[in-house]
Amino acid sequence: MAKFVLEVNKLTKKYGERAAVDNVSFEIIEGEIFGLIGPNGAGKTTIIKMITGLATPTNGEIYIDGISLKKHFEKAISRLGGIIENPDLYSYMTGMENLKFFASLYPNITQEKIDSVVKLVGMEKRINDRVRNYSLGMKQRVGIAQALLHDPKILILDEPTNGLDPNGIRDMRKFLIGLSRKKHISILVSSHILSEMEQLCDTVAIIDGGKILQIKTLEQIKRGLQEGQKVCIKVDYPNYAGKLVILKYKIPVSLAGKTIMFNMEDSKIPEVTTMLMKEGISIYGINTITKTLEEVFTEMLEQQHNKGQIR
Amino acid sequence: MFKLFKAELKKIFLKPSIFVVTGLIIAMLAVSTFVYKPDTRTDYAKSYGSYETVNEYYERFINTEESIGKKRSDERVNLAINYVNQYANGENAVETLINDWRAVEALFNTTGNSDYVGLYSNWESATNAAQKASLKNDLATKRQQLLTAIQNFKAKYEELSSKDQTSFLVTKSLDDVIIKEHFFKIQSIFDNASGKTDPDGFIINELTTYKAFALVFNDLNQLLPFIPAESVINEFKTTKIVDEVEVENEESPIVIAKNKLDALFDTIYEFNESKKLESESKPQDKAQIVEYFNEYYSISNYLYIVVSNGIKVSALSKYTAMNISVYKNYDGANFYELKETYTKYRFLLDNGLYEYNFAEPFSVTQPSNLEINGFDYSYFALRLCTFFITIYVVVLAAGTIAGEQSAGTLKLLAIRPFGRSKLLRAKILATLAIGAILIFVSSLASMVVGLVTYGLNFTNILVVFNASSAFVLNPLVLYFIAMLTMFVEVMFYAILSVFISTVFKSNIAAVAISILLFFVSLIINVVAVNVPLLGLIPFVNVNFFKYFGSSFLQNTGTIFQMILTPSVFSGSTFWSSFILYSLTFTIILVITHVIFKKRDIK
Repeated sequence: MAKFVLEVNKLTKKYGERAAVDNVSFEIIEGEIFGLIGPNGAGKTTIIKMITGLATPTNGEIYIDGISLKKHFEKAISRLGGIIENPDLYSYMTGMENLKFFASLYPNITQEKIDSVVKLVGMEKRINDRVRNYSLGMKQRVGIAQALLHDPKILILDEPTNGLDPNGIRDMRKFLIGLSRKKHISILVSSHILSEMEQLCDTVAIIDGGKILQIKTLEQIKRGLQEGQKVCIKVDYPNYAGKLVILKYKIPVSLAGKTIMFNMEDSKIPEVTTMLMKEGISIYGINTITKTLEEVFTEMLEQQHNKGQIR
Repeated sequence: MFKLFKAELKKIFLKPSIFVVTGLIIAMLAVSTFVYKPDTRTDYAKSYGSYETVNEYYERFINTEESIGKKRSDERVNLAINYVNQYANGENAVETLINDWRAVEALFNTTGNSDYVGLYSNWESATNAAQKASLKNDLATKRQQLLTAIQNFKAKYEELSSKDQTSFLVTKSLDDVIIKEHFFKIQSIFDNASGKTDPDGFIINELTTYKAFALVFNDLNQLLPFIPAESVINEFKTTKIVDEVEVENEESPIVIAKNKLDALFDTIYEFNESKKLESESKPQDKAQIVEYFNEYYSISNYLYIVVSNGIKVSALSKYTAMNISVYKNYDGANFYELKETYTKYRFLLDNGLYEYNFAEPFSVTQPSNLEINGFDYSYFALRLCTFFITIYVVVLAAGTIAGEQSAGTLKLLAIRPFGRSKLLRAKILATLAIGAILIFVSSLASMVVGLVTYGLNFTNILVVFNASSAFVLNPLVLYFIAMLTMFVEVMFYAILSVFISTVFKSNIAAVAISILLFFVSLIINVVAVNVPLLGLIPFVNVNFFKYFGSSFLQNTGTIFQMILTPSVFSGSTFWSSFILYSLTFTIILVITHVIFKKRDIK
């Protein structure tokens, strides 16, 4: 059993002089939900196309479950399932006929297996209707079904929530988390909807201009956000209170009316309030402001822009 | 890969278009039963009228000048003999013609003192008055000689070019009006020259244009090594075909045929003598004598065809198709058809098959026998169905990559445990398989309808393959061959369309261009039959059934008939087509694989 379900090493795709994907590397372990986040045109879809063999890399290696995609394409690709961009199926066939067609391309996928996958995605009622009569959500579900027929180790989803309503998005999220936790299927998702990714992924890679800017687990990000958390305390003597905080913690404090503001994580807040009260300061209100992933992300992009690293 | 192939094939059956094409085939079968109206065969119209006695038939045979009389039959034999002699004489005549022109050239010649130009320059440079006068006399004499030589030449040339049998030896450029005019111009200069003080200035000017003449006549020189026909001439040659005189070549087909005819005539005479006195003849006797007459006619007719075509084939085989078109009366000559006709009748003559007991190969314009039979209809219906099947397969093939790319399903196919090559191969095979299935089913259905409407006639068919081998086939076998060749044709258009499908990303573009190419191909096949170089284009080398007896097929008729029954290009052979087809097919296949393997899928 290979260490990583997916390993991408120095992956590059050049169109002439322009590099759409530039030296991208990352790994995904079993059962991990890995997100590729970036604005439109960042290169997410190109990376995914290279992983699925739809496009040939100019440089770099891809290993699926330890098997080289270039050298043993057929073996490697059989460990992978996916939907790229829209869930396109054969519209003149029914959902079941579509699934049977894809099932027939693999050895040993029984009718029971097909039925179980249909059940898994919740399409039992409409599976025998023609695909041209499906809504987008149904197509999504059958799309995922065809990706799961052959028990892949990793599921690749490119913008899976495209066009879904909030309920659909939530259902999809629950479903994907269930897959990864219960069936230990790794999932690679790409999206530009950060709020969603926040709730879904274990790890995210932030991509822009074809390059990976950062890879962090969600834990790390949350901690980071925590570290960037702003605490606002409304007091009777803001100047005095502010000086006390500065003296003790050596961090910058800003004032706004009667409120003092400074960065502090949750665990340290009781300590501060106790200290202030000891010194005779009255506290009228405490609240915290955490940055959202979106803000962090935007800031990150701006930094890069300013560094001139993004064209 | 077999799994993928089966899956792809199943997909095609699930597409709604399969119903469309099946409906079209059924419709075509129905329509064709009404539309099928071939020309009736009029050869071997055995109408000797209905006479009361055998003797009356005999008298008609001897005395009548109509098409099926002994006289006319004998005429054909004599024509054959004359053809041989005139051809041989024609060779000599051309040689003489060339020598005559050489004589004219010599008189004009620009070197030496005794020729015209030499004399003239001497006259120019002469200072002595007496010398000048003497030279002027010489010039005048020379001028007269020249005039006579040219007149002789002209006369021979005109005589030669008026003869039909040797006209193929005369290039068209000799007949060129400008050059003829030039001849007359020189003549008129000489006519006007006598009596004038310095007429020679005109002549000198003419010398520059005379050189252009010489170039034209070099063409004639090419005719000199016209020896190839010699072996054929020797085979046919007889010095005299007169009853008592011994002949040069006992094994010549002419002699053998003549002997057979004589023997046959004796038989007819004796038969008539034995039945002469009856006031009415029995039907079987009438039939018998008619049979004799037909045999008589066949032998002489076949002989003429064999001799004339044999000589033409042998003579023309030295020339490329382009050169042949230069010769007068050979503008439209199709070398393949000449050879095929020769082979066919030579086969019949050599094997003593004088009676009409073979059917002709299938065509859409005429029945294979004297009466329409199921096989003729079936071939017609099958050809019609295949036309639509080809269009269907072309559309399928054009959509197999481009269509799935446009629809977005290609992505889902590409991330399966098959490489690009396997995927492409499976798709190609599935497309070809559907074509094969449809053609096979159509051919069965056509045969059933043919059986029901006309009945099947199993008279053996005389086939000439590749213009060089004649043999006899069961019509069922030929029908099967027809079916195979139609599949081969479809296969070509399919692979071409798959190639286009791989190159173009949009389904509409791929389908439109593929269909366009198909129709362009049809047009080229019809329109350009006698343009020799076009015979190298792959499009005109995809129909192989035409090598099984195309000259039998009258390619006249409606455009529709011409589309369904193309002719062989002059100069093409089965093997040249085979090589061109295979090469083109392989190259397209390889390029398609290479392109598909490399490209990104959107």
